Amino acid sequence: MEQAGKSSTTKRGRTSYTMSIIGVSLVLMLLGAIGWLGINYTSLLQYYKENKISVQVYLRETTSEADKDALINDLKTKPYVKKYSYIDKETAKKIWSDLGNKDFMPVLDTNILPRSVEFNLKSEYVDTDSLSKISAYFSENSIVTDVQYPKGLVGDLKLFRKIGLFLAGIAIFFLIAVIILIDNTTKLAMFSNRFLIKTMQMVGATRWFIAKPFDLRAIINGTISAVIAIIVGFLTLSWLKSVIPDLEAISNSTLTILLAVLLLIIGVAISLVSTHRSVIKYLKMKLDDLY
Amino acid sequence: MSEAVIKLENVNIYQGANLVLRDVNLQVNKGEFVYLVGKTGTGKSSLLKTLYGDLPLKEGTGHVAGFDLKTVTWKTVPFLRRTLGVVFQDFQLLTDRNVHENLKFVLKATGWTDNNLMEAKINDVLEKVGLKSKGFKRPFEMSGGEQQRIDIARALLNSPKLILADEPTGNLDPETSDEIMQLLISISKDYDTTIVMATHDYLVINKYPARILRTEGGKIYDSANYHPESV
Repeated sequence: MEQAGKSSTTKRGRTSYTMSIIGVSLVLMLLGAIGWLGINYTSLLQYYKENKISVQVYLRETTSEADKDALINDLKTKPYVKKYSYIDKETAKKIWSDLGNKDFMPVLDTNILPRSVEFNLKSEYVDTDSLSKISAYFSENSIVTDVQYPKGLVGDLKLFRKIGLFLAGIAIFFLIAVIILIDNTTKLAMFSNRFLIKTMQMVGATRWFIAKPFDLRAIINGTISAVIAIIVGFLTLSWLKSVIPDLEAISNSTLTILLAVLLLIIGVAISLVSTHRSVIKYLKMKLDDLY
Repeated sequence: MSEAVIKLENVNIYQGANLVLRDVNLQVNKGEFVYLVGKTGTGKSSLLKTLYGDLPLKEGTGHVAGFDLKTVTWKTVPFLRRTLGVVFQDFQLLTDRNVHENLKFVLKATGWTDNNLMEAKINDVLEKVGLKSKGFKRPFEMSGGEQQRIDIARALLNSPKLILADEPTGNLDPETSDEIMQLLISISKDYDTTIVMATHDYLVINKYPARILRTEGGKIYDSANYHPESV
Protein backbone atom coordinates (compact mmCIF):
# COMPACT_ATOMS: atom_id res chain seq x y z
CA MET A 1 0.00 0.00 0.00
CA GLU A 2 2.75 2.37 0.95
CA GLN A 3 4.65 1.59 -2.22
CA ALA A 4 1.60 2.28 -4.33
CA GLY A 5 1.26 5.59 -2.51
CA LYS A 6 4.86 6.49 -3.22
CA SER A 7 4.60 5.54 -6.90
CA SER A 8 1.92 8.14 -7.34
CA THR A 9 3.97 10.92 -5.73
CA THR A 10 5.71 11.91 -8.95
CA LYS A 11 2.41 11.82 -10.86
CA ARG A 12 0.79 13.99 -8.15
CA GLY A 13 3.70 16.40 -8.39
CA ARG A 14 3.28 16.68 -12.16
CA THR A 15 -0.50 17.16 -11.81
CA SER A 16 -0.06 19.91 -9.25
CA TYR A 17 2.52 21.62 -11.51
CA THR A 18 0.06 21.43 -14.45
CA MET A 19 -2.75 22.84 -12.32
CA SER A 20 -0.40 25.55 -11.10
CA ILE A 21 0.53 26.52 -14.70
CA ILE A 22 -3.15 26.62 -15.74
CA GLY A 23 -4.13 28.61 -12.65
CA VAL A 24 -1.35 31.14 -13.09
CA SER A 25 -2.17 31.45 -16.82
CA LEU A 26 -5.81 32.22 -16.04
CA VAL A 27 -5.01 34.95 -13.53
CA LEU A 28 -2.40 36.44 -15.86
CA MET A 29 -5.00 36.50 -18.66
CA LEU A 30 -7.32 38.35 -16.32
CA LEU A 31 -4.61 40.83 -15.44
CA GLY A 32 -3.71 41.17 -19.13
CA ALA A 33 -7.32 41.97 -20.04
CA ILE A 34 -7.51 44.67 -17.36
CA GLY A 35 -4.11 46.03 -18.40
CA TRP A 36 -5.16 46.12 -22.05
CA LEU A 37 -8.32 48.01 -21.10
CA GLY A 38 -6.18 50.47 -19.15
CA ILE A 39 -3.83 51.02 -22.09
CA ASN A 40 -6.66 51.49 -24.55
CA TYR A 41 -8.58 53.72 -22.18
CA THR A 42 -5.67 56.16 -22.28
CA SER A 43 -5.28 55.85 -26.06
CA LEU A 44 -9.00 56.19 -26.64
CA LEU A 45 -9.25 59.25 -24.43
CA GLN A 46 -6.25 60.87 -26.09
CA TYR A 47 -7.52 60.01 -29.57
CA TYR A 48 -10.93 61.41 -28.66
CA LYS A 49 -9.54 64.64 -27.17
CA GLU A 50 -7.12 65.36 -30.00
CA ASN A 51 -9.31 64.39 -32.95
CA LYS A 52 -12.94 64.80 -31.99
CA ILE A 53 -12.85 68.08 -30.07
CA SER A 54 -11.98 71.07 -32.21
CA VAL A 55 -12.21 74.83 -31.80
CA GLN A 56 -13.74 76.96 -34.61
CA VAL A 57 -12.70 80.58 -34.83
CA TYR A 58 -15.09 82.42 -37.19
CA LEU A 59 -13.76 85.47 -39.04
CA ARG A 60 -15.54 88.67 -40.01
CA GLU A 61 -16.57 89.06 -43.64
CA THR A 62 -14.32 92.10 -43.89
CA THR A 63 -11.19 90.39 -42.59
CA SER A 64 -8.25 91.02 -44.86
CA GLU A 65 -5.88 88.26 -45.97
CA ALA A 66 -3.09 89.93 -43.99
CA ASP A 67 -5.16 89.90 -40.76
CA LYS A 68 -6.17 86.30 -41.39
CA ASP A 69 -2.50 85.31 -41.90
CA ALA A 70 -1.52 87.19 -38.75
CA LEU A 71 -4.12 85.24 -36.78
CA ILE A 72 -2.86 81.94 -38.20
CA ASN A 73 0.76 82.87 -37.49
CA ASP A 74 -0.22 83.69 -33.92
CA LEU A 75 -2.02 80.33 -33.66
CA LYS A 76 1.06 78.46 -34.88
CA THR A 77 3.08 79.75 -31.93
CA LYS A 78 0.66 78.48 -29.30
CA PRO A 79 1.92 75.37 -27.41
CA TYR A 80 -1.56 73.88 -27.11
CA VAL A 81 -2.23 73.57 -30.86
CA LYS A 82 -2.03 70.01 -32.15
CA LYS A 83 -3.12 70.81 -35.75
CA TYR A 84 -5.02 73.55 -37.54
CA SER A 85 -6.70 74.26 -40.86
CA TYR A 86 -8.06 77.35 -42.56
CA ILE A 87 -11.55 76.94 -43.98
CA ASP A 88 -12.45 79.39 -46.73
CA LYS A 89 -15.99 80.06 -47.86
CA GLU A 90 -15.97 77.40 -50.61
CA THR A 91 -14.67 74.72 -48.26
CA ALA A 92 -17.26 75.76 -45.66
CA LYS A 93 -20.00 75.38 -48.28
CA LYS A 94 -18.71 71.92 -49.21
CA ILE A 95 -18.68 70.86 -45.55
CA TRP A 96 -22.22 72.25 -45.22
CA SER A 97 -23.33 70.15 -48.18
CA ASP A 98 -21.45 67.06 -47.04
CA LEU A 99 -23.37 67.25 -43.78
CA GLY A 100 -26.57 66.77 -45.80
CA ASN A 101 -27.83 70.32 -45.52
CA LYS A 102 -29.91 71.91 -48.29
CA ASP A 103 -28.06 74.09 -50.81
CA PHE A 104 -28.93 77.73 -50.01
CA MET A 105 -27.37 79.25 -53.12
CA PRO A 106 -30.47 79.16 -55.35
CA VAL A 107 -32.38 81.13 -52.66
CA LEU A 108 -29.81 83.56 -51.34
CA ASP A 109 -27.56 83.81 -54.38
CA THR A 110 -24.55 84.33 -52.14
CA ASN A 111 -22.38 82.21 -49.84
CA ILE A 112 -23.29 83.32 -46.33
CA LEU A 113 -21.00 80.87 -44.56
CA PRO A 114 -18.11 82.65 -42.82
CA ARG A 115 -14.44 81.86 -43.19
CA SER A 116 -12.94 80.18 -40.15
CA VAL A 117 -9.82 78.72 -38.63
CA GLU A 118 -10.31 75.32 -37.04
CA PHE A 119 -7.77 73.80 -34.68
CA ASN A 120 -7.40 70.79 -32.42
CA LEU A 121 -5.71 70.91 -29.05
CA LYS A 122 -3.12 68.67 -27.48
CA SER A 123 -4.97 66.32 -25.13
CA GLU A 124 -3.56 67.84 -21.94
CA TYR A 125 -5.23 71.20 -22.82
CA VAL A 126 -8.66 69.72 -23.47
CA ASP A 127 -10.44 70.77 -20.30
CA THR A 128 -13.09 73.36 -19.46
CA ASP A 129 -10.69 75.91 -17.93
CA SER A 130 -8.13 75.84 -20.76
CA LEU A 131 -10.79 75.99 -23.44
CA SER A 132 -12.50 78.96 -21.72
CA LYS A 133 -9.20 80.86 -21.65
CA ILE A 134 -8.36 79.94 -25.25
CA SER A 135 -11.87 80.93 -26.35
CA ALA A 136 -11.61 84.26 -24.49
CA TYR A 137 -8.20 84.97 -26.03
CA PHE A 138 -9.44 84.62 -29.61
CA SER A 139 -12.75 86.35 -28.90
CA GLU A 140 -10.83 89.50 -28.00
CA ASN A 141 -9.42 89.67 -31.54
CA SER A 142 -11.35 92.28 -33.59
CA ILE A 143 -11.48 90.08 -36.74
CA VAL A 144 -13.16 87.24 -34.85
CA THR A 145 -16.95 87.11 -34.67
CA ASP A 146 -17.35 83.92 -32.69
CA VAL A 147 -15.40 81.07 -31.09
CA GLN A 148 -17.12 77.72 -30.76
CA TYR A 149 -16.22 74.36 -29.27
CA PRO A 150 -18.37 71.42 -28.08
CA LYS A 151 -18.84 72.47 -24.43
CA GLY A 152 -21.03 69.47 -23.61
CA LEU A 153 -18.42 66.98 -24.79
CA VAL A 154 -15.69 68.70 -22.79
CA GLY A 155 -17.89 68.48 -19.68
CA ASP A 156 -18.30 64.74 -20.27
CA LEU A 157 -14.53 64.29 -20.08
CA LYS A 158 -14.76 64.58 -16.28
CA LEU A 159 -16.84 61.42 -16.36
CA PHE A 160 -14.17 59.77 -18.53
CA ARG A 161 -11.60 60.70 -15.89
CA LYS A 162 -13.71 59.10 -13.16
CA ILE A 163 -14.04 55.95 -15.27
CA GLY A 164 -10.26 55.98 -15.73
CA LEU A 165 -9.67 56.23 -11.99
CA PHE A 166 -12.16 53.43 -11.43
CA LEU A 167 -10.33 51.26 -13.99
CA ALA A 168 -7.00 52.03 -12.30
CA GLY A 169 -8.48 51.02 -8.94
CA ILE A 170 -9.79 47.77 -10.44
CA ALA A 171 -6.37 47.10 -12.02
CA ILE A 172 -4.58 47.54 -8.67
CA PHE A 173 -7.15 45.29 -6.99
CA PHE A 174 -6.65 42.63 -9.66
CA LEU A 175 -2.87 42.91 -9.39
CA ILE A 176 -3.06 42.21 -5.64
CA ALA A 177 -5.55 39.39 -6.27
CA VAL A 178 -3.24 37.93 -8.94
CA ILE A 179 -0.26 37.98 -6.56
CA ILE A 180 -2.28 36.25 -3.81
CA LEU A 181 -3.76 33.69 -6.23
CA ILE A 182 -0.41 32.81 -7.81
CA ASP A 183 1.20 32.64 -4.37
CA ASN A 184 -1.47 30.23 -3.11
CA THR A 185 -1.40 28.12 -6.30
CA THR A 186 2.38 27.80 -6.03
CA LYS A 187 2.17 26.95 -2.33
CA LEU A 188 -0.32 24.17 -3.14
CA ALA A 189 2.05 22.80 -5.79
CA MET A 190 4.96 22.92 -3.31
CA PHE A 191 2.92 21.22 -0.57
CA SER A 192 3.20 17.91 -2.45
CA ASN A 193 7.01 18.29 -2.38
CA ARG A 194 7.36 18.96 1.35
CA PHE A 195 8.67 15.49 2.25
CA LEU A 196 11.06 15.52 -0.70
CA ILE A 197 12.47 18.83 0.54
CA LYS A 198 12.79 17.54 4.11
CA THR A 199 14.50 14.34 2.95
CA MET A 200 17.01 16.40 0.95
CA GLN A 201 17.74 18.40 4.10
CA MET A 202 18.06 15.19 6.14
CA VAL A 203 20.89 13.92 3.97
CA GLY A 204 22.90 17.12 4.36
CA ALA A 205 21.90 19.25 1.38
CA THR A 206 22.16 22.99 1.95
CA ARG A 207 19.15 25.24 1.43
CA TRP A 208 20.51 26.69 -1.83
CA PHE A 209 21.25 23.24 -3.21
CA ILE A 210 17.68 22.16 -2.37
CA ALA A 211 16.03 25.37 -3.57
CA LYS A 212 17.91 25.57 -6.91
CA PRO A 213 15.92 22.93 -8.88
CA PHE A 214 12.62 24.16 -7.45
CA ASP A 215 13.50 27.77 -8.31
CA LEU A 216 14.47 26.71 -11.83
CA ARG A 217 11.18 24.84 -12.20
CA ALA A 218 9.34 27.96 -10.94
CA ILE A 219 11.02 30.09 -13.60
CA ILE A 220 10.08 27.56 -16.31
CA ASN A 221 6.48 27.21 -15.04
CA GLY A 222 6.08 30.98 -14.69
CA THR A 223 7.37 31.45 -18.24
CA ILE A 224 5.03 28.77 -19.63
CA SER A 225 2.06 30.34 -17.79
CA ALA A 226 2.90 33.82 -19.07
CA VAL A 227 3.46 32.61 -22.65
CA ILE A 228 0.08 30.82 -22.60
CA ALA A 229 -1.61 33.98 -21.26
CA ILE A 230 0.13 36.16 -23.87
CA ILE A 231 -0.75 33.86 -26.80
CA VAL A 232 -4.40 33.60 -25.72
CA GLY A 233 -4.47 37.38 -25.19
CA PHE A 234 -3.08 38.14 -28.66
CA LEU A 235 -5.45 35.67 -30.33
CA THR A 236 -8.41 37.22 -28.51
CA LEU A 237 -7.25 40.72 -29.47
CA SER A 238 -6.85 39.73 -33.13
CA TRP A 239 -10.35 38.27 -33.14
CA LEU A 240 -11.77 41.41 -31.47
CA LYS A 241 -10.05 43.64 -34.04
CA SER A 242 -11.61 41.64 -36.86
CA VAL A 243 -15.04 42.06 -35.25
CA ILE A 244 -14.59 45.71 -34.18
CA PRO A 245 -12.29 47.44 -36.77
CA ASP A 246 -12.18 50.72 -34.74
CA LEU A 247 -10.05 48.92 -32.16
CA GLU A 248 -7.18 49.02 -34.65
CA ALA A 249 -7.16 52.85 -34.59
CA ILE A 250 -6.86 53.15 -30.82
CA SER A 251 -4.70 50.07 -30.22
CA ASN A 252 -1.18 50.96 -29.06
CA SER A 253 1.13 48.20 -30.31
CA THR A 254 4.16 49.33 -28.32
CA LEU A 255 2.25 49.44 -25.04
CA THR A 256 0.58 46.11 -25.82
CA ILE A 257 3.99 44.50 -26.31
CA LEU A 258 5.19 46.13 -23.09
CA LEU A 259 2.13 44.71 -21.36
CA ALA A 260 3.06 41.24 -22.65
CA VAL A 261 6.60 41.66 -21.28
CA LEU A 262 5.16 42.86 -17.96
CA LEU A 263 2.93 39.77 -17.77
CA LEU A 264 6.00 37.58 -18.38
CA ILE A 265 7.94 39.35 -15.62
CA ILE A 266 5.01 39.18 -13.18
CA GLY A 267 4.39 35.48 -13.93
CA VAL A 268 8.03 34.48 -13.46
CA ALA A 269 8.70 36.78 -10.48
CA ILE A 270 5.67 35.76 -8.45
CA SER A 271 6.18 32.03 -9.19
CA LEU A 272 9.86 32.28 -8.24
CA VAL A 273 9.34 34.26 -5.03
CA SER A 274 6.43 32.06 -3.90
CA THR A 275 8.32 28.84 -4.64
CA HIS A 276 11.48 29.98 -2.88
CA ARG A 277 9.48 31.12 0.15
CA SER A 278 7.69 27.74 0.28
CA VAL A 279 10.98 25.81 0.10
CA ILE A 280 12.45 27.88 2.93
CA LYS A 281 9.26 27.43 4.96
CA TYR A 282 9.45 23.63 4.66
CA LEU A 283 13.17 23.66 5.43
CA LYS A 284 12.49 25.55 8.66
CA MET A 285 9.66 23.22 9.69
CA LYS A 286 10.21 20.27 12.02
CA LEU A 287 9.69 16.81 10.52
CA ASP A 288 6.59 16.19 12.69
CA ASP A 289 5.02 19.47 11.58
CA LEU A 290 4.95 18.27 7.95
CA TYR A 291 2.23 15.68 8.66
CA MET B 1 40.90 6.76 26.25
CA SER B 2 37.76 6.25 24.08
CA GLU B 3 36.66 8.99 21.73
CA ALA B 4 33.15 10.29 22.53
CA VAL B 5 30.94 10.60 19.43
CA ILE B 6 27.89 11.62 21.45
CA LYS B 7 28.16 13.54 24.71
CA LEU B 8 25.15 15.00 26.47
CA GLU B 9 25.40 16.72 29.86
CA ASN B 10 22.43 17.83 31.97
CA VAL B 11 20.26 17.93 28.88
CA ASN B 12 16.51 18.49 28.97
CA ILE B 13 14.79 17.47 25.74
CA TYR B 14 11.59 19.17 24.66
CA GLN B 15 9.04 18.27 22.04
CA GLY B 16 7.48 21.68 21.42
CA ALA B 17 6.76 23.08 24.89
CA ASN B 18 6.64 19.62 26.54
CA LEU B 19 9.61 18.34 28.48
CA VAL B 20 9.95 14.70 27.38
CA LEU B 21 13.36 13.74 28.82
CA ARG B 22 15.08 15.47 31.74
CA ASP B 23 18.58 15.54 33.10
CA VAL B 24 20.08 13.37 30.36
CA ASN B 25 23.76 12.56 30.84
CA LEU B 26 25.09 10.30 28.18
CA GLN B 27 28.29 9.38 26.41
CA VAL B 28 28.53 7.03 23.43
CA ASN B 29 31.99 6.25 22.15
CA LYS B 30 33.41 5.54 18.74
CA GLY B 31 32.47 2.12 17.36
CA GLU B 32 29.80 1.44 19.98
CA PHE B 33 26.50 -0.19 19.06
CA VAL B 34 23.69 1.06 21.30
CA TYR B 35 20.00 0.21 21.39
CA LEU B 36 17.47 2.84 22.34
CA VAL B 37 14.29 1.29 23.70
CA GLY B 38 11.16 2.47 25.45
CA LYS B 39 7.42 2.73 25.02
CA THR B 40 5.98 4.92 22.31
CA GLY B 41 5.89 8.53 23.47
CA THR B 42 8.66 8.18 26.05
CA GLY B 43 11.14 10.28 24.04
CA LYS B 44 13.18 7.90 21.85
CA SER B 45 12.49 9.78 18.62
CA SER B 46 12.84 13.15 20.39
CA LEU B 47 16.31 12.13 21.56
CA LEU B 48 17.31 11.04 18.05
CA LYS B 49 15.85 14.26 16.55
CA THR B 50 17.88 16.29 19.02
CA LEU B 51 20.99 14.36 18.00
CA TYR B 52 20.45 15.03 14.28
CA GLY B 53 19.37 18.63 14.80
CA ASP B 54 15.67 18.46 14.00
CA LEU B 55 14.84 19.52 17.57
CA PRO B 56 16.83 22.37 19.13
CA LEU B 57 18.87 21.74 22.25
CA LYS B 58 17.38 24.22 24.69
CA GLU B 59 18.91 23.18 28.01
CA GLY B 60 22.20 21.50 28.86
CA THR B 61 25.22 20.90 26.65
CA GLY B 62 25.51 18.43 23.81
CA HIS B 63 28.11 17.45 21.24
CA VAL B 64 27.58 15.08 18.33
CA ALA B 65 30.45 14.11 16.02
CA GLY B 66 32.29 17.26 17.00
CA PHE B 67 29.30 19.61 16.55
CA ASP B 68 28.01 21.70 19.42
CA LEU B 69 24.23 21.12 19.28
CA LYS B 70 23.57 24.48 20.96
CA THR B 71 24.99 26.34 17.96
CA VAL B 72 23.20 24.34 15.25
CA THR B 73 20.54 26.30 13.36
CA TRP B 74 18.38 25.35 10.37
CA LYS B 75 21.02 26.96 8.16
CA THR B 76 23.94 24.99 9.61
CA VAL B 77 22.15 21.71 10.27
CA PRO B 78 23.12 20.26 6.82
CA PHE B 79 26.78 20.32 7.89
CA LEU B 80 26.01 18.35 11.07
CA ARG B 81 24.06 15.81 9.01
CA ARG B 82 26.96 15.30 6.62
CA THR B 83 28.95 13.83 9.51
CA LEU B 84 26.26 11.35 10.42
CA GLY B 85 23.99 8.94 8.67
CA VAL B 86 20.29 8.79 9.48
CA VAL B 87 18.31 5.63 8.78
CA PHE B 88 14.53 5.93 8.94
CA GLN B 89 11.79 3.40 9.56
CA ASP B 90 9.95 4.64 6.46
CA PHE B 91 13.20 4.90 4.41
CA GLN B 92 12.56 8.46 3.17
CA LEU B 93 14.22 7.88 -0.17
CA LEU B 94 13.67 10.44 -2.93
CA THR B 95 10.78 8.86 -4.80
CA ASP B 96 11.22 10.91 -7.96
CA ARG B 97 14.53 9.26 -8.93
CA ASN B 98 16.16 5.82 -9.04
CA VAL B 99 18.56 4.32 -6.50
CA HIS B 100 21.69 5.49 -8.32
CA GLU B 101 20.31 9.03 -8.60
CA ASN B 102 19.27 8.96 -4.93
CA LEU B 103 22.82 8.20 -3.90
CA LYS B 104 24.37 10.61 -6.40
CA PHE B 105 22.11 13.39 -5.13
CA VAL B 106 23.51 12.95 -1.61
CA LEU B 107 27.08 13.05 -2.88
CA LYS B 108 26.47 16.17 -4.97
CA ALA B 109 24.56 17.80 -2.11
CA THR B 110 27.45 17.17 0.23
CA GLY B 111 30.08 18.69 -2.00
CA TRP B 112 31.36 15.85 -4.21
CA THR B 113 32.24 17.00 -7.72
CA ASP B 114 34.42 14.31 -9.34
CA ASN B 115 32.11 12.03 -11.33
CA ASN B 116 34.49 9.04 -11.26
CA LEU B 117 34.88 9.25 -7.50
CA MET B 118 31.11 9.51 -7.10
CA GLU B 119 30.50 6.44 -9.28
CA ALA B 120 33.12 4.49 -7.33
CA LYS B 121 31.59 5.47 -4.00
CA ILE B 122 28.06 4.55 -5.14
CA ASN B 123 29.27 1.12 -6.32
CA ASP B 124 31.14 0.69 -3.05
CA VAL B 125 28.14 1.36 -0.78
CA LEU B 126 25.76 -0.65 -2.98
CA GLU B 127 28.15 -3.57 -2.77
CA LYS B 128 28.31 -3.23 1.02
CA VAL B 129 24.54 -3.52 1.29
CA GLY B 130 24.37 -6.29 -1.33
CA LEU B 131 22.44 -4.36 -3.96
CA LYS B 132 25.07 -3.60 -6.57
CA SER B 133 22.79 -4.57 -9.44
CA LYS B 134 19.75 -2.54 -8.30
CA GLY B 135 20.96 0.98 -9.04
CA PHE B 136 18.53 1.49 -11.90
CA LYS B 137 15.41 0.74 -9.82
CA ARG B 138 13.11 3.33 -8.36
CA PRO B 139 12.39 3.06 -4.63
CA PHE B 140 8.76 2.04 -5.13
CA GLU B 141 9.88 -0.86 -7.36
CA MET B 142 11.81 -2.42 -4.47
CA SER B 143 10.83 -4.49 -1.41
CA GLY B 144 10.87 -2.96 2.08
CA GLY B 145 14.09 -4.78 2.93
CA GLU B 146 15.79 -3.53 -0.23
CA GLN B 147 14.66 0.03 0.43
CA GLN B 148 16.04 -0.18 3.96
CA ARG B 149 19.37 -1.41 2.56
CA ILE B 150 19.41 1.56 0.18
CA ASP B 151 18.63 3.83 3.14
CA ILE B 152 21.65 2.34 4.94
CA ALA B 153 23.79 2.67 1.80
CA ARG B 154 22.84 6.33 1.65
CA ALA B 155 23.81 6.77 5.29
CA LEU B 156 27.23 5.24 4.53
CA LEU B 157 28.09 7.54 1.61
CA ASN B 158 30.04 10.10 3.60
CA SER B 159 31.73 7.53 5.86
CA PRO B 160 29.88 8.82 8.94
CA LYS B 161 31.22 8.61 12.47
CA LEU B 162 27.69 7.99 13.70
CA ILE B 163 24.58 6.31 12.31
CA LEU B 164 21.25 7.12 13.93
CA ALA B 165 18.68 4.50 13.06
CA ASP B 166 15.05 5.13 13.97
CA GLU B 167 13.37 1.73 14.11
CA PRO B 168 15.03 0.50 10.92
CA THR B 169 13.42 -2.94 11.24
CA GLY B 170 10.00 -1.62 12.24
CA ASN B 171 8.40 -2.24 8.84
CA LEU B 172 10.20 -5.47 8.04
CA ASP B 173 9.50 -9.18 8.51
CA PRO B 174 11.70 -11.11 11.01
CA GLU B 175 13.94 -12.64 8.34
CA THR B 176 14.59 -9.30 6.61
CA SER B 177 15.06 -7.62 10.01
CA ASP B 178 17.75 -10.15 10.79
CA GLU B 179 19.55 -9.36 7.52
CA ILE B 180 19.41 -5.62 8.25
CA MET B 181 20.77 -6.19 11.79
CA GLN B 182 23.67 -8.24 10.47
CA LEU B 183 24.41 -5.46 8.00
CA LEU B 184 24.35 -2.74 10.69
CA ILE B 185 26.51 -4.76 13.08
CA SER B 186 29.05 -5.51 10.34
CA ILE B 187 29.22 -1.81 9.48
CA SER B 188 29.78 -0.95 13.14
CA LYS B 189 32.57 -3.53 13.46
CA ASP B 190 34.23 -3.12 10.08
CA TYR B 191 34.29 0.68 9.96
CA ASP B 192 34.32 1.48 13.70
CA THR B 193 31.08 3.39 13.18
CA THR B 194 28.96 4.30 16.18
CA ILE B 195 25.36 3.19 15.79
CA VAL B 196 22.41 4.27 17.92
CA MET B 197 19.35 2.28 16.99
CA ALA B 198 15.85 2.93 18.32
CA THR B 199 13.80 -0.26 18.34
CA HIS B 200 10.86 -2.13 19.86
CA ASP B 201 12.16 -5.46 18.59
CA TYR B 202 13.35 -7.41 21.65
CA LEU B 203 14.01 -10.53 19.56
CA VAL B 204 16.69 -8.57 17.75
CA ILE B 205 18.15 -7.29 21.04
CA ASN B 206 18.26 -10.82 22.45
CA LYS B 207 19.95 -12.15 19.33
CA TYR B 208 22.47 -9.31 19.03
CA PRO B 209 23.02 -8.06 22.59
CA ALA B 210 24.59 -4.63 23.11
CA ARG B 211 24.40 -1.61 25.40
CA ILE B 212 20.79 -0.47 25.96
CA LEU B 213 19.41 2.98 26.67
CA ARG B 214 15.83 2.84 27.96
CA THR B 215 13.50 5.83 28.06
CA GLU B 216 10.82 5.79 30.74
CA GLY B 217 9.01 8.37 32.84
CA GLY B 218 10.99 11.27 31.41
CA LYS B 219 14.38 9.69 32.22
CA ILE B 220 16.98 7.65 30.38
CA TYR B 221 18.30 4.48 31.98
CA ASP B 222 21.62 3.20 30.69
CA SER B 223 22.52 -0.49 30.87
CA ALA B 224 26.17 0.59 31.07
CA ASN B 225 25.44 2.05 34.52
CA TYR B 226 23.69 -1.09 35.80
CA HIS B 227 25.92 -3.25 38.00
CA PRO B 228 23.93 -6.17 39.58
CA GLU B 229 26.83 -7.17 41.83
CA SER B 230 26.71 -3.76 43.53
CA VAL B 231 22.98 -4.11 44.46
